[in-house]
Amino acid sequence: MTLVFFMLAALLQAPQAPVPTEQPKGLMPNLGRPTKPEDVVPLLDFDKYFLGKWTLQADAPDSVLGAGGEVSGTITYKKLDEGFYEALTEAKGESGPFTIRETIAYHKEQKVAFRHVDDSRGYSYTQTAEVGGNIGGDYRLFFKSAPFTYHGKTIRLNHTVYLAAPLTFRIDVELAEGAAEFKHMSPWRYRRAP
Amino acid sequence: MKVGSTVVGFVGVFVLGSASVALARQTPTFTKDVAPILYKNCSQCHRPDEVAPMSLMTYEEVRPWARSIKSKVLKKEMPPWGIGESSLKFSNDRQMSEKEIFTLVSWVDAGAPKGNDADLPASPAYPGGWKFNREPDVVIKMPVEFTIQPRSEYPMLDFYVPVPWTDGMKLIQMSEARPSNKAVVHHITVSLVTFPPGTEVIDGQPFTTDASGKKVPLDRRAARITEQRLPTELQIPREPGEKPDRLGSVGGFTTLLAYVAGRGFDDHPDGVGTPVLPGQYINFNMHYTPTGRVETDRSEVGFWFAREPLKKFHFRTPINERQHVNGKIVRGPVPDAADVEAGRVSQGATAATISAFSGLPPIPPYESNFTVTSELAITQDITINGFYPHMHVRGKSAEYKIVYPDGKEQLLFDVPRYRFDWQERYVLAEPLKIPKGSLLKYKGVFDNSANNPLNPNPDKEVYWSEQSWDEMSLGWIEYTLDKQKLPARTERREQ
Repeated sequence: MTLVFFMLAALLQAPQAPVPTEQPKGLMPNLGRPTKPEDVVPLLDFDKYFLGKWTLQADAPDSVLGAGGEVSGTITYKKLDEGFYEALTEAKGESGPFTIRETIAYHKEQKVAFRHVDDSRGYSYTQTAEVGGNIGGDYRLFFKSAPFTYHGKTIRLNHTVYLAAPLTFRIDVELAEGAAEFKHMSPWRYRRAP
Repeated sequence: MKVGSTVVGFVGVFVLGSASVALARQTPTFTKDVAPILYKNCSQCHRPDEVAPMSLMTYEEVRPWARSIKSKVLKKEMPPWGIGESSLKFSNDRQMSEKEIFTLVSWVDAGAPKGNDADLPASPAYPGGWKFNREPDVVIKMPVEFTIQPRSEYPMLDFYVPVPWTDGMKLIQMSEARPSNKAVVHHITVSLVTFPPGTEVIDGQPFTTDASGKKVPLDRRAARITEQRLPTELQIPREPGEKPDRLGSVGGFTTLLAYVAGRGFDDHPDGVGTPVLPGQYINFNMHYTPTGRVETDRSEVGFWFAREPLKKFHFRTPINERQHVNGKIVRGPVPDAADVEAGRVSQGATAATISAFSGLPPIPPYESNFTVTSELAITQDITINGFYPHMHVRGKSAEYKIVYPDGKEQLLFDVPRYRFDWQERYVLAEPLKIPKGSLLKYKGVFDNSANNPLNPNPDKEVYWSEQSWDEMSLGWIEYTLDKQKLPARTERREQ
């Protein structure tokens, strides 16, 4: 027993070999040659890209949805089942902390996604998205919402998700009030949490 | 010394304090203090239908963004300006002064008040939405609306439009290219071509007639850029037997402008421009990047004719005659024995991986400081009017240097944080004379690591092409030839 104790203690105190950390990888296959117009864009691998925790930052304008200013926090994507996910945003803005809960459905072969979003600031909406990309690995999800009502006003929200890099993505937000044109609402920037 | 510093510090605090008190007494307002700053520094991009995503022309447009504006100007993220260290001054430097930043921050901190409408200055005029203060003399649209399908990539596409005037040569002094769909346009290069006699252009594509009388697409290589049709007195002066060299070749002045994010309006000094003749064609060279859904675009270009007599052609060329990667020569004149002996010839490139496009070896996976140094021998006296470095999403930093004939090396400027999404054209406040015998150097550094927030595939080798996920390393210069003294023969327009 004593011997085992000392062996364990010695093992714990011995210099540890560095654990090899895997370098982040993109979503494109390595073709070993430059791309061609006839190359086929791989379908977006939602699991590989999104699952896990990301930090977020935004610098939002004031709008019908509330005061703008700096927003920071995290979002965590979890898999519920094949093609189904949930995401939880825990963030803090000028008006205090808030959460956003999303249930997401992604049909890989059909290149479409849907999500229902509940925002603790008092509104929810449902969105559908075309999912596309190019052979450079520049994927985008073009979410458009059904109209919803907030403080008596009819709102529509567009979110375009740009998958820029393995460790970063960005969501451009556009808002339309009533029949007015969509207005830019500044991007939300995400970075893979360490 | 210590006493002196204390006195200076005390006086400084007193002066700043007095200024703060004075400014605090007069809270800045949008109409009186903020609008002039935004009009001067921001309106060129932050106006309807421009490259910036929101307009900042009215109080109602600006007020929701007040906190964001404070944050961006304090961090100096806005207005965007890439130059770091420099021995030159630039006419399009739109950095805000400390006083302007202080005014904006004070205004936001005071609750962003509007002020009196009577104080509001006239907003800058952008007739027709164009950047210059009058509408172009001619606007030319692509001959067709092009549909960009959700596919992997598009090659560069060419569309041709005949020069629409018939009343002689015009000198283009300013030009602006505008995509109708910014989401898909990576670049527009607008240039001039002359087709062989008998060419017919249908829906923007050139056709010729073969021996059997059948219409067939014209080999694009026949769409030559040529000065043959320029009047003799406008041709580039050369000594007997002198051949066109890199700096004085006709190709250097037939490109009218290039549009990428952050650039797309070219203006030149009085009397400097590009001669365009009836019978020539405007070539829209389009690079579309698919977004994954069906998109359409019909870009256009506006031309402003010179109102001054033609004095010089506006030339441009990239610095890319002789290139080194991480210190080893990879392209240019055949390396000499000294290069081989010193190990300056790259061993990392193979026939399979060297891009025919640039002759450069690929950037290895996860390489964060891949450095391409390029040189251009200055074979005749020139005057530089502007610069524009061009790289893609792995672009990290850029630097221009000159080595004068006496061996003295000088940093012209560097761009410490190159931005693919905002590629500036740096226009000199004072033209820069470069004597024959000088050497221009351009350094582009590339980051293919995962830390690069725009790098989609750090685990892949990066090749060289015009696709934005591949790379380019081009340090362009815009210049005139000192020996070119052209007669005044452009049409004078009604003032």
